[in-house]
Amino acid sequence: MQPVETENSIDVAVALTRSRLARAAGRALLTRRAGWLVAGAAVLGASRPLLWPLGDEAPLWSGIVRALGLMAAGLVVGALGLILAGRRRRPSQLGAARAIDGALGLDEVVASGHAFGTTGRAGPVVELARSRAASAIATLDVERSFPLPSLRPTRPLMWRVAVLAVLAATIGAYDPVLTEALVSPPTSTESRATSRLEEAARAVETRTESPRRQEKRASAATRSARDRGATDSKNLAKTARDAARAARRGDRSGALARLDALRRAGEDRAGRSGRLDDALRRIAEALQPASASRSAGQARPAPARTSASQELRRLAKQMQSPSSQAERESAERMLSRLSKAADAARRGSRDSAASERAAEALRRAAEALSRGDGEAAARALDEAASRAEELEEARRQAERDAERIMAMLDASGALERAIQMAMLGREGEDGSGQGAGMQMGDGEGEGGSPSAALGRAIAARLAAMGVTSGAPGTGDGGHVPDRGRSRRRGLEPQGLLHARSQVREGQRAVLAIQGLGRGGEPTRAFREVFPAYDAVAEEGIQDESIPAARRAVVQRYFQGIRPGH
Amino acid sequence: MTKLALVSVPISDEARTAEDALDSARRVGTRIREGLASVILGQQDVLDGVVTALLAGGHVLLEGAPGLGKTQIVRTLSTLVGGSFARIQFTPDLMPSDVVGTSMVVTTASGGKDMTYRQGPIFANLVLADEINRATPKAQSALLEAMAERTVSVDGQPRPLPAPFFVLATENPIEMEGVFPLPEAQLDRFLFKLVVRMLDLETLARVGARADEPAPPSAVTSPAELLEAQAAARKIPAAPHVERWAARLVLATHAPKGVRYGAGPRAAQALMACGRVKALLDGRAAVAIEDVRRVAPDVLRHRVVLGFEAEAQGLDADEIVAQAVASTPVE
Repeated sequence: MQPVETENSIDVAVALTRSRLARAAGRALLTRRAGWLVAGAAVLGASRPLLWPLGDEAPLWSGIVRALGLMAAGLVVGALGLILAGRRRRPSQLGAARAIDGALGLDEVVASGHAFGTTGRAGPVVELARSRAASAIATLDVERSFPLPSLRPTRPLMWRVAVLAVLAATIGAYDPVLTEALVSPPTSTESRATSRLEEAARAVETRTESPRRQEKRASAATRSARDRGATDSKNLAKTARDAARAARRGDRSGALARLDALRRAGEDRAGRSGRLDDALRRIAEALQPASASRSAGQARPAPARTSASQELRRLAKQMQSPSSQAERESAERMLSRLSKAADAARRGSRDSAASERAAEALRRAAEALSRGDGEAAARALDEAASRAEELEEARRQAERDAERIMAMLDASGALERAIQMAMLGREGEDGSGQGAGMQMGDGEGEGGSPSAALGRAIAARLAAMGVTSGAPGTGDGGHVPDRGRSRRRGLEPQGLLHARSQVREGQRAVLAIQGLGRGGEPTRAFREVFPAYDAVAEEGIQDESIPAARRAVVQRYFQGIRPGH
Repeated sequence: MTKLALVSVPISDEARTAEDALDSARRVGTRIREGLASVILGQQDVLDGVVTALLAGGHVLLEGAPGLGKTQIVRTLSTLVGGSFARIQFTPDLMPSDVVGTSMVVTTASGGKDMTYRQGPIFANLVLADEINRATPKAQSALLEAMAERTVSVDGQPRPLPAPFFVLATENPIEMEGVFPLPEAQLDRFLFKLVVRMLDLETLARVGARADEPAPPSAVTSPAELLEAQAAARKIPAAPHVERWAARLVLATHAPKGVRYGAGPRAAQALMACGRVKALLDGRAAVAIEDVRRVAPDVLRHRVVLGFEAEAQGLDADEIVAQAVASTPVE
């Protein structure tokens, strides 16, 4: 019981009633629009693929959870919005007073009494009217007079919620990857290839962690070179792991995209390693005295017997010793050697800041020498030697990682092939032996350094991605050609592509291309036929049926037309 | 639990006096209503309208076919009120002097001649103007002037009519040949236009079963008491939102398509006056929108002038008023 003065009782009752009616209006709107609310929330949940797409790392089942979560959030937010909107439709004070009249079965007794109080009208009859209004509301029980609509859902509404929730979860769980995984789950070949790639990536990561133990003993320059190499390797490993994860999820397109990125990174790594090695070799060669660097009858300088840093240290010592050879040699020849070395260092500067700094130091040494300042030249040569040591450390780092990176690239190639076979609807076992790429030398007999061999080996591996240059596979899958040595005559020297023997995909590719040339319609998508088409071309490259001078062109061409390239 | 417990504050003496006056007035109205109902069978709405107009101090135009009890209503009412009663049968040859009276040459006691004013039948508390539309406009205007100003001027001398003064005119909607329909401006002088409809089966059976004419009732009030009741009714206040609703309703009669002229300011006054009486008869101290809504058809139907378009559509004034009532929003 709330004792109220007569004078205020009308206003208090009106205020209480108005608040009560606001709550009732909110609930009424919610119950009235419950069907629309549920439908809207279901649409929200079903829109999950657009609103909240699954990331690369999210499990596929999380689509259902997200769809239901969106639906639940939509229900909660919508319900709150409806309640608030309903509350905004609460009646005015006069309306609340009239509602009291309605509840008490009166004809505007309370409404008139309230209105007279609001407008300040006076007089005996007005006083009488207000008194009667106050008397009327004396027994008013606001809660009983204005019951709140129940929010308990009805059985049909519950059914509707359940059906729409199932519908929203079904539609909202849709993901192209999920569909692909359900329609064409990862094959055993893909799984094995994925495991192999993961192992290879793990091996690369493990290898890049271990040098840190020697961190304290290494110089700053060495540490910097090592860090950069380790970062590159880690990035490669991460890309490989991403590709493996995508393959495990059944996201074949994503996996292929990552494998493509991995190949590009590998190309970059190989190119950089080779350029680094070239730069170091040329610096060393340029710094060697003419008698040492050029033997009689040789058209090209002989390979450097010492490293670039050793040569630079030696020259620095010569500069500091008055009876050195530097005094005997003409300044002009020395200047020429330093300039060549600086040029060689500058060529390698695209891949290393150390190379740029080495070039700068050599330039300063040349300038000091031209001024006759032997001490300054010696200091600059010392610094150049330090930079060269950095480059040599980077090269050594690359050599250390080479084997594992190559294994990883091999594994990625195997996975790519397995995915492509699976996309063709076939499961096969690729050749998994170690191919010729691992055994390749430089073939030109000039450098022979491990780093140059590394660059070329990686390039060979990269070129072989999509086809393995190993022995025929022994898998238990469907009949898919190994594309190994057993089929190295797939490409004839005349340049006509013939997918002979078992290469049905290749035949289809040829037929499709031929049909297109004759005005016919292709029966398969390019993306589907490309792997077989590419395989035939790669065979031609591997078994050397394509002239060596044209291989790079053919290889570039097929890389260029690779789907998604 | 939100229950309010009233801490009663006594009302003032003036308010208590006003309450007594309202109760007294309500009792007067109730007695008249019951007296009428004891004689007139059926026609409940018409009886309510007559009592409402009587307490509101207005005049009533009764429209209905012959034999439906129009004259009986007025006769019974005059008996109940206890005032003077006059009946004027309007005919085409009725002269204004037949209504308001005239000055006559009379011989005085000394044998001389003098002009003496002889009052017409209009000088009564209740006047029945029977078949008012059969008289010429000249005679009609004499009555209508008296209704509006409650005085008559004869020989340049104003003569006040007795109070209370209540005119109940009747008109026959059939037999329209040779009649003079009342102009709209004069119709506006009537507070109500009540339509006396045919009795329903049960009532008609009860009427037929009556062997004798009912005995005339005795007076239940006096003209003085009636005047007090009228005064008490006029004091009943109306909240601003009720007044605004009545005003909106009047304006709403202008809106419908086919209406040539809607109701005027007198309609707003009439609505509020009748609303007060309704509140009084219901024992309330304030006018409600429902009171106004209930009297709206009787107040407005003769104040809405329909155009050809509405008539072509078969609309009548009652439908227009019903539309206006339905379309007028409540604050």
